[in-house]
Amino acid sequence: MVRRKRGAHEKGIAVPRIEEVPGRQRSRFGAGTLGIATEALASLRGRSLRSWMTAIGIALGIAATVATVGLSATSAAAIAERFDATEATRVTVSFSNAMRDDGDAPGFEDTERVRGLNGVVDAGMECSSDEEAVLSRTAEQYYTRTAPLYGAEPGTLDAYGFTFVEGGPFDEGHVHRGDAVALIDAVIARELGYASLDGGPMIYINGESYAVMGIFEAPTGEAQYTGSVIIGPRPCIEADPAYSPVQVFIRTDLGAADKVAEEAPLAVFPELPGELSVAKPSDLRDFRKGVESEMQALLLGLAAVSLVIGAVSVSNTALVSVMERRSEIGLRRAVGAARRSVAMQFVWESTLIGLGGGLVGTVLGVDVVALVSLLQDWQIVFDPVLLAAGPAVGAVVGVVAGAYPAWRASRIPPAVTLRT
Amino acid sequence: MVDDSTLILPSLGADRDISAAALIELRGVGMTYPGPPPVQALRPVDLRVEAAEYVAIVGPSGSGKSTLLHLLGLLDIPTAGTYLLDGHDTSELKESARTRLRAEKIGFIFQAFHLMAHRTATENVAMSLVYQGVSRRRRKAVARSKLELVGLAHRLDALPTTLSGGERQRVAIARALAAEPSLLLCDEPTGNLDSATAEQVLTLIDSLHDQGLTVMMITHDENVAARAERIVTIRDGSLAEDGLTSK
Repeated sequence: MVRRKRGAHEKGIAVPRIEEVPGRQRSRFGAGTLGIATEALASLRGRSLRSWMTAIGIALGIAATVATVGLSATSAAAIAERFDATEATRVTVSFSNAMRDDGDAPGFEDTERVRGLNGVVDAGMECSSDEEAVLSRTAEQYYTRTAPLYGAEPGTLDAYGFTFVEGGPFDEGHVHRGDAVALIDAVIARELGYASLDGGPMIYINGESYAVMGIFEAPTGEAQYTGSVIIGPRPCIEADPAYSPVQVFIRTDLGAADKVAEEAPLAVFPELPGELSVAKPSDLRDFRKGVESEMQALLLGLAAVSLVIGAVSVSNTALVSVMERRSEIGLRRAVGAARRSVAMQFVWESTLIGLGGGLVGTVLGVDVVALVSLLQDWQIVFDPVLLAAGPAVGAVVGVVAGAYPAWRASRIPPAVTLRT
Repeated sequence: MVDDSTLILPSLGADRDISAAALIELRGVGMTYPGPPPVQALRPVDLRVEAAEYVAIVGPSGSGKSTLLHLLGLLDIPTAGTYLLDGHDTSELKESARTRLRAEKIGFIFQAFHLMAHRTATENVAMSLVYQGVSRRRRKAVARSKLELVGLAHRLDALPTTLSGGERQRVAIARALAAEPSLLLCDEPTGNLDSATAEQVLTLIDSLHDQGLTVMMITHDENVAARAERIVTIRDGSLAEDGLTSK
């Protein structure tokens, strides 16, 4: 029961009356925390420009992270798609240097056997000259130039998918007869002045004449054939020591590479199949994944650096804000805010800034991925978890960045700040 | 002075007999700032203020008025003596308990208003209830009620920058009243106001005291001090005089 003294009302003076209002009643648990969060949000709204400018720091960091991860996933999918179409169908069976030195090399019947395996589209042997060959249009060699020289079967050319701008590949007949025929790259042809193959032009390779059967363009991704000259597989079959050990290149059906890789060595060289080395798509895929992983780690490292910069920016701004708002902090303490409540408000503010930055950054990052995918004609691959992780990481960065300024705010003595 | 009448004043909340005990009791309370060099801002003083008193604290600048107010408001901890607030020995309390006691017992009015510029009048008043775990709806209701009490029912959603000085101080008074305090501490509440507006604010404070609120007001204005029932004079950090006015 409250007693009150007789005051102005009883004396007939017109003064405002204290209305009957609900007294102080504690609400359910959590209302205080929610209230502090609401205060933090309101404070940010009151300084919206500064808040957003601060959030941009985190937004850029999150955008970089999201874009990095998103682009990695998207490009990996795109590469994998292309890889499946090309890389996943190639198998190579290689002889060692020691085997070549021993005179071991496959014959026509061996590569024919490989071509007969289930799942093999085309196959053929190939080997390359250790030294570049000297090329000339005439026996007198008035004008020469050098180029890589390969020995290959027609099946090799088919397996690689050579295209011809003039003439065509030599055939089995040429190869079995041991005809001196050659194929030259379009670049070499231009340099040596072969405008067309009319009249059956010849080319002199290391002084020996060959009939030019075709002018080719090296297949995409097979840079070793760019600017080269290809002759029949005779040096390969003879295990010519001036050439590299023989390699049998096999193009398989999609999905058949692993099985072909298992069977091919026996078909290529039944005498010593275990001595041969086999490269199949899975090995290449592992290599590619390794490279991608290292690239992603590098990019994520850069993104992390930008996130740290964003966090420092938020922390610095919050610290300045604490200094500017000493009076407000003192007032809040005066009306009943505990140190913990003051600290919590500043942590909430930086968390909300981080969350906002994270949301904006995620949207920006997704936009970057979408734009790049559009320009590259890639199918967007995006882990939905990333969409939630962006704002979450932003919020965590905000918490971390706001911790120290919040602590500083909580230590400000109210009496000092309220002096007027 | 305190009246023994038993009229009910529901707005003050807790059930208590304002005539039963001193609301404030200082026993040798002093304050020395550590420096360097150490400054004795308030020499040990004894002071007893009953509930529902209206006390003016006067003195020249630097005399220790504000230090005393900060100590009374639990914003500072005395370096000497014992301070009993409503029977609680505040020197025994931890920081969190002091904060809670301050929130529940004391309302502040400052010369500089200390309103948050980007918050409406209602939000400024409601802010003081956030830290007591009061729900948003109730905060808003109480804030509106207090603003109506101080005559600002028509300015509920106004920002402080659009309010006159008198209106701002009335918002600050509404904020001080929001938590239903027992004690209203005023630090030069009319220092930034013209005389007409100051009169309105002082009349409002008078009316709150008339309804049973204990008021302690720091002022260097004798006319303002004369409105109190009791004047405590501080000089050079010491309590120099303590006497009743004609009221």
